[in-house]
Amino acid sequence: MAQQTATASHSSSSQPRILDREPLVLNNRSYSWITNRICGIVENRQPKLWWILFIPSVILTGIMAFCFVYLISTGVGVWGQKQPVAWAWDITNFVFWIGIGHAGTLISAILFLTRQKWRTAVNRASEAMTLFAVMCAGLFPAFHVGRVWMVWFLAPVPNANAIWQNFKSPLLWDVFAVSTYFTVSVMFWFIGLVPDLATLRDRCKPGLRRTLYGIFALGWRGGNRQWNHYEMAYLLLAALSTPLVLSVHSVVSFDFATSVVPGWHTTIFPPYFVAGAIFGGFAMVLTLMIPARRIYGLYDLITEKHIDNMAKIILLTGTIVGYGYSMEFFMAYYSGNQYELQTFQLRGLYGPSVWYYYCMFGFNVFVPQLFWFKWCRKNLFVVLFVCMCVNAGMWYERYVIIVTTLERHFMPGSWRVFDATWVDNWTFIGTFGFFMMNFLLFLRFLPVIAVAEVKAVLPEANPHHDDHHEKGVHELEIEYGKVKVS
Amino acid sequence: MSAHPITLDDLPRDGERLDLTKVSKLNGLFLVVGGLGLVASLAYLFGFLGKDKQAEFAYSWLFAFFFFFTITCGGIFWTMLQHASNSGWSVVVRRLFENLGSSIGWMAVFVLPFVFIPAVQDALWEWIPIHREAAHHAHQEHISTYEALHHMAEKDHSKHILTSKYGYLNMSFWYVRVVVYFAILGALAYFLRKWSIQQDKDGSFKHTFRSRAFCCILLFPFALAVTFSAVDWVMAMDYTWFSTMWGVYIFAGGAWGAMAVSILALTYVRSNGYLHKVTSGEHYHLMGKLLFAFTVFWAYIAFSQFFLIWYANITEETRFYILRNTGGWWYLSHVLVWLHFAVSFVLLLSAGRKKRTAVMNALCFWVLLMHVVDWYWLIIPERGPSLSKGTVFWIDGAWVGDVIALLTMGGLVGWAYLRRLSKASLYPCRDPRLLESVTATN
Repeated sequence: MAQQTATASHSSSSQPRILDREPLVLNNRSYSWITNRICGIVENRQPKLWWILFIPSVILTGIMAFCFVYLISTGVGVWGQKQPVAWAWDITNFVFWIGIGHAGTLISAILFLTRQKWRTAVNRASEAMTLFAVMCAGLFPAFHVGRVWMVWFLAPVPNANAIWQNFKSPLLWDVFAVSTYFTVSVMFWFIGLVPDLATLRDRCKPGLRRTLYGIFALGWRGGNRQWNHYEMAYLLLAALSTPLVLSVHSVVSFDFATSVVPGWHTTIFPPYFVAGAIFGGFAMVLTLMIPARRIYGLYDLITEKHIDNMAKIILLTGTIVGYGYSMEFFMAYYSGNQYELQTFQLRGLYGPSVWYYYCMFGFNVFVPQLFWFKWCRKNLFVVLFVCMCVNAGMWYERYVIIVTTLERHFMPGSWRVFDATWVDNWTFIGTFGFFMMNFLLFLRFLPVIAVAEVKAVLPEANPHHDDHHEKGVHELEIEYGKVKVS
Repeated sequence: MSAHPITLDDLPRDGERLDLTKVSKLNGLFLVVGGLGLVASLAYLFGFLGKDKQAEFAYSWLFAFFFFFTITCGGIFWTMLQHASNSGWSVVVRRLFENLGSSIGWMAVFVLPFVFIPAVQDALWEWIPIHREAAHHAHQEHISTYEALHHMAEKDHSKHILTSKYGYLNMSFWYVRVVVYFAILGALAYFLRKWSIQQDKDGSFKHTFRSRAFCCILLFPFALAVTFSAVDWVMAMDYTWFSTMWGVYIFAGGAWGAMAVSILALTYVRSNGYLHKVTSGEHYHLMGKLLFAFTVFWAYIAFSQFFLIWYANITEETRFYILRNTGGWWYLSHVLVWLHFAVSFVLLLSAGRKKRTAVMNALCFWVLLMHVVDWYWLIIPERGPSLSKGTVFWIDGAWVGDVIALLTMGGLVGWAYLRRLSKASLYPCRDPRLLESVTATN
């Protein structure tokens, strides 16, 4: 019957009628190929390039640790901030890293809830990146408090000194928001890892590795009931994580927007910060995944389509960020508030740090416009170039908001341009080493792509894939030219 | 639905056309209500019922206009989003959004009183009579309007702020902007519907690709048009007030309302026997999820705007909320928190409820009611203080005009919407993603 109807309609029209989706996994790769390829990364010796990246990362982490020790032993004065710039690279770096830590949970949770199946190729690595970025972020405010051994005072624990936290302060909300985000992200990441850890366990020879993978696999055997519970837990964690994606950077924006400082107090800050965080996060995901894809030969799993989609998200969120910049500037003018307007004039037109503003605007708004062109999204060098610009641009954005605003505050008599010290520089550079070191260790010991989830988006995972009736019609449609793949 | 073995050949080749005679009762009601309302509205707008009533009704007209304008923009937004994101599930309901967005033509008619009746302009936007006065002085003294405004500000310092925003808030630019907003929104609504209907005839993929490119390119101009129209028509009622979040807030409300209208339209055409082959509870669920997402998004934006202004407590900004937290408006503010957000959030949370047509229908009526409340709360509190020079908050009896304006536009837009639905297939019947949409699952 199906054959007859398909033939009949073919005779009435010779045009293709269906625009098929590009496959998520190329070259019809089988379940076993996927398992072998991804688990092989963990099981085989790492390529030389891994070591070439890992050793400098460890050295940089050591430098970062040295800088922090030096800061503790000497005092926060080793950083360059002095009045009126009391928040400088520390808070800039904190917001920068927290922003990067947004793409992971966005990909894992929001793209999961919106059924964007392409997420499966990149969600695991993005989540891992999220955790490492949040760890880097947490270092800066923790050390900025001065006496880092007192940092537990931030937690609302009744203590002998009768100190009680200021619940009216957005800085305290930040502590709760970031720690909640980190906790839920770890849980989400770990839950997703369980089936793959069991796969690794089952492939190992008896020994320490097998024992450790076994412990963390929580006795996973892949039974129906386990999958049922797993799917439910995953869905619930996705639903819990989604508001967190919005809340963390919104609360970070409150650090500034609740104040009465011109250039900081603006109502659009929460969504504008979130869009910026997703923008910067996706740029960092691509910065890491494009080399990883090449080093480990993951071309069939992380396809050009994945990169294309992420490039489009960068273009979209970059445009939203551009909208935020424009609204800030417009309202500074429209408000008729001379202080607000002067802040923006100093930032963008004739202030001492004006080139930071140009870098921010250029890297975040102009450069991503290259992604309008398909050949730019296809050319990985261009993609990496844009991502690098965005990574830098998002740091400049935080610098512009925080430092250039404080450099020119209400009292012109105390205006001062900020100068970073060598400790500022090397602490920040050191966090990149710490971030990379963690990411490389993740590549070394855990499956970089969610094996079970990628299998679930293959055509054969569809229970009706082998349905003779449906398959027959579809094949006929291809044969008669009614289906075009795009 | 997941096991549905449907193929394109099971569907009617030319889609389904709405027969207007089947919906004549509702359509007739729309026309009668809209027609009678229009007569009353014109009497108000042209001042036949007195100058006071004319000024009061200006607010009513703005309230109704802005309600339907933002829902129309929401219709355009959802159509654009579906094209720009290359969405598959939504094809069977996209025509409902295309037709909703095409109401922009009627909005271009309803905006005319704001453009051509000076008394309406003077009542709504306090900056306009001041500029008019400045222009009059300028003409007499042979100086520029800006200079005349500056002289006026020297005598009355409250007007000084208008000199600093003269580059944006001036009459000529205001008129130009009205034209630009409708040009952008009109082009989007017109071409997206036109190409979609052309595809019904020739089935060519080029319409899909062309629409996608068009939507991506115009996404930013669309955002600017919605933002600045909201600034010009609503924020500028109090020319001293400002908020960078404003455009996002208006957009969130409009998209929310447009989704509710489209779900109601879907139910209505289904109740008349259409779209049963191509839509199911799955589509209600998908649309319900977006309605839920925008319930939360609206609350997030509304809360952030309120919270930041409340916390910083700067005089320039707090006026907006102080006015809306005074007298009876305080209760309406709470309605927004508890009934607009909290109740909608709880009711839309369940997946089961989102799949049930009757429940979703009731919820969408609720959403629209709350959207009316939101826009009422946004616009009408300005009426009392503006027209009475700050002596009263509430003008007795003016609410009659609000109801008339809402029914007038609702009737005429609803009548035109149903007629538009009948002009082409109720769904894009040769869209290349049609099968994907028909078999969509959650």
